[in-house]
Amino acid sequence: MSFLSRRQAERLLAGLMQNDRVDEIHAVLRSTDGTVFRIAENLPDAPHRTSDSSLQITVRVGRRYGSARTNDLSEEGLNALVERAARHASVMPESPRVFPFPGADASAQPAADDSAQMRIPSAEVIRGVIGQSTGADMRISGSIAATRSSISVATSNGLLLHHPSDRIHTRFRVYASNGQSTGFGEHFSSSLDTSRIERTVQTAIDKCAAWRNPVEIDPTRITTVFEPRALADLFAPFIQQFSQRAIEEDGSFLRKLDGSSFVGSKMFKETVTLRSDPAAQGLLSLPFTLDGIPVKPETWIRNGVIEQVAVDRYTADERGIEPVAPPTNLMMDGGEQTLDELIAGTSRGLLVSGFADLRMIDPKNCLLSGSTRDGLFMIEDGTITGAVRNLMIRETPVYMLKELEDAGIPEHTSTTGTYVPMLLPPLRVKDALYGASSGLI
Amino acid sequence: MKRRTFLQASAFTAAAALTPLDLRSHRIAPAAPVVKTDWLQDAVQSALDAGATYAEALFRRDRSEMLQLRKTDISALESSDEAGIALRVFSGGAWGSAAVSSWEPGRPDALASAAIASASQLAKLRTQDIDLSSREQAGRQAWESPMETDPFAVSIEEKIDVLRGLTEKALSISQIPFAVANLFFRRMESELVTSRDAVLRQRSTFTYPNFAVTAFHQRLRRMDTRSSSLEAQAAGWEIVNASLESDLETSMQEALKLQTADPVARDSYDLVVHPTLLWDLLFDTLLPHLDPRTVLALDGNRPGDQWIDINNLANITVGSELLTLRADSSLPRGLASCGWDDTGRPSPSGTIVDAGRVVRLPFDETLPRLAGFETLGFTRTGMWNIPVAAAMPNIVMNAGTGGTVTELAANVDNGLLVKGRSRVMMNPAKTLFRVRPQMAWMIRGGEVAEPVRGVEIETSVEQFWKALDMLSSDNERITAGDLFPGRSSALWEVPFSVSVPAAVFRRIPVYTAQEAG
Repeated sequence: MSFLSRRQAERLLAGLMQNDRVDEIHAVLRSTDGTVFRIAENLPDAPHRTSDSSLQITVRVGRRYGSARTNDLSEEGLNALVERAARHASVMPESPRVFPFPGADASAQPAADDSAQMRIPSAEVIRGVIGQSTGADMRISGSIAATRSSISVATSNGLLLHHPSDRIHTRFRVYASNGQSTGFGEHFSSSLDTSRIERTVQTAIDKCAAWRNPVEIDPTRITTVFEPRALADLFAPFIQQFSQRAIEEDGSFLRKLDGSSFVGSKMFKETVTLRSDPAAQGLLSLPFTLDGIPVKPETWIRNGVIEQVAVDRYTADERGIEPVAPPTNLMMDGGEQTLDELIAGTSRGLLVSGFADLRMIDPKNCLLSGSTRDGLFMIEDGTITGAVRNLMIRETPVYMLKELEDAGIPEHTSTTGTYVPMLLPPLRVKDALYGASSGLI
Repeated sequence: MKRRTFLQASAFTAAAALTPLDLRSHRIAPAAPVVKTDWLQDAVQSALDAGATYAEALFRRDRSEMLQLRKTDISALESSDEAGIALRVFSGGAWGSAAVSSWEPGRPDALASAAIASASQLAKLRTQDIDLSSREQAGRQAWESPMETDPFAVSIEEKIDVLRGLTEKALSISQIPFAVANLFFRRMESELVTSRDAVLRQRSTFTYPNFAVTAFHQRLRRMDTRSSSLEAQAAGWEIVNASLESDLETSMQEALKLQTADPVARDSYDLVVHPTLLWDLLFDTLLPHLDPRTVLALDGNRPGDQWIDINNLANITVGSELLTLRADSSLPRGLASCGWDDTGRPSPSGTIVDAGRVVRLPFDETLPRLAGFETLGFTRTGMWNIPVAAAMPNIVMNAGTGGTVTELAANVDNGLLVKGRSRVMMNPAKTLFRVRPQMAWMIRGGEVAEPVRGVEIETSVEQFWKALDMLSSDNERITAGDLFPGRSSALWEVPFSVSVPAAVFRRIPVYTAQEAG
């Protein structure tokens, strides 16, 4: 099957690097062996197993670069791939500056979650999921995907990085039988844990049961308690702006009017500290970037002060500094309170469980817009008093972290849909901005 | 067998096998170069030996190439070539499937075992009947989308020359400081081997040339961008030169005219919608609601949000009586035109919407039956490693008797002629939309008058299609499609085209768009 071990990847990439048709080669090799079990409206579909490997290369010929991609990893396939990339390079304009692809770097060796055996979900697990849903008089849609994958980055200058990972991705949405309320549960783990799948489904069912008869409210600014999953979706585009390139290209809130950056400036509340570490327990993530930079532990915000931004290889080379990889996971310091205690401390506000269709409206201040989803509730005098129809939010994490009132106990979470491990607390934020109802159930 | 020997043998075997019993197109599809028909047949036989009552093995190869020029410099050149095999079996009353890269497919019986295991898992949860009557019987057949010149055989230098010719011409006008031109090519090749002894080989080639020019008015500090009208077609290199130059001339003139136009006044207008915009409105606003998985709330992403659901399907009106939509799998240059779907059924045609009412839906045999409602089986896959599923066929909107665009405008006292696709913004529930056409002209007393800028149409999908009041005749029709249909619906993996005339929509709310910057 097509899952490639380090040794297999090494052998394949070593063969590729022998090609002397070009001056340099940079390769990204991905392999995957996965099975997906889908359910739609309580109706299971056949599990589908796929095995594949694919290779993307960039080559340098003189001062020109060219790229190409294939999943034919035979000797002939690799030769044809290099030939194609070299052909592309021949018509590209000359690069004003040439600097070599990275070489061997011992510091970039990964701590991978390489489990011995991957178990895939059985029909009994799926039957259990559907049973939970029908038992609650609800309809469930979603999937359990079990994937064993690896990613390798290599260059003709001796770099070889390899990162295997096993992932069980459980993701379900339930609807009440009348179709008028919904709940969502998602979980990523490195091995099959049926009790965790049950809890994920139960989360969706509980949210759906609670979000009954939602009332419509007018556009407003209102204190909001954000659950960690909702925060993860807000923070993913936020942390991408911690980039020297984005600052210089006027695509980041960290750019000052005079063109300099806010690095070293206090922008947020004293309590805000945001870190990343690909080897953090329970948050293992890719320990290198696709261009071969090791991802090191970093503190991006310390006590409200911007401390670090990512610096790509090109910019680093230009400045004579070390490159800094962007984070592949995220951790935010929190407090001592549970989510319920944060709610109890709120006189009037909203509880937001998640978002749908969150989009960047203005990168210069990281302004995001999208609909709340899967649980929006009114909080009055410290208790949840009812469900609220989903609203369009129009807010920036920059403002949220400035107007942060309180943070709870951090929890493991991830961005919705794609695994970006995060350890985030629930947050209570003053005066988040909402527009009209989004129309989403 | 060594890999190299395998490749040589497969090419030889594939070439030797190319004697179609029934030629469904004017040309014969060439050899699928990577996999042996024998391997597919062995996989099918292994599945039957392991207890399957039916099996089909689909080899699929996808090639793509993209070039982009910004101003006169090449800024992107990408290409991809991927292939694999999917085996689908019916065993124990359930469907099962498994897929493997064709680089190292392993043994055919291993893939068969994985597919049988998939079916046996599903059989523990649900079983169904199988109806194979619509599938192709024994025989070797081939189909290829019509093409005069293979775009993958044209040199990169020639492609760059064509793009540079466009951008240089645009940039020679001082008020046009920016131009971008792109070429996309995609080829889908497949070979389907079934346990009914059918061997079906197909090849579709898609070509999509496009450009955008930006005019800048120094004194007014205005930027206006127009892009080409030509959309992706199932065709070869021959369409690249055919109409790009005249299209560029029109686009440049329109961008320049727009610079000094006044903003439109907010009001409700009768709209004459040019087919270069109407196709995209149909594609983005109405068709996602007619996907059977959305109707059945089986999309997995947004169940319950659908405007049209199974309970109101037979009674709901989705448009005015003039709205009739047909599925047409032999539409010339249609991206979904094919000889068979990916399960070996002859490609279907039939009415989807008749006089505003949904009468039939594209369908897939794994979906729950729609009792008392007609369906149109059409099952395809976006890539070798994605399970086959219900797909949208090409959709043709009936024309009318309204004549040309100018003759349609003659029926409008106070309105707008709107033209050119633009990004259609949908609300999250996909029931409201907003779009800014690339060009708009006032219509007064039945005459097309001066251009206006800042036109923003915002209405509900339902209201818009019910406001359809007149249709042009067929000679205004265009066929257009999207190579990446997933932008409009997460369910859409396979490109398809829509063919539309021009049309008049009455009393549509129009707002004045804010100028950027």
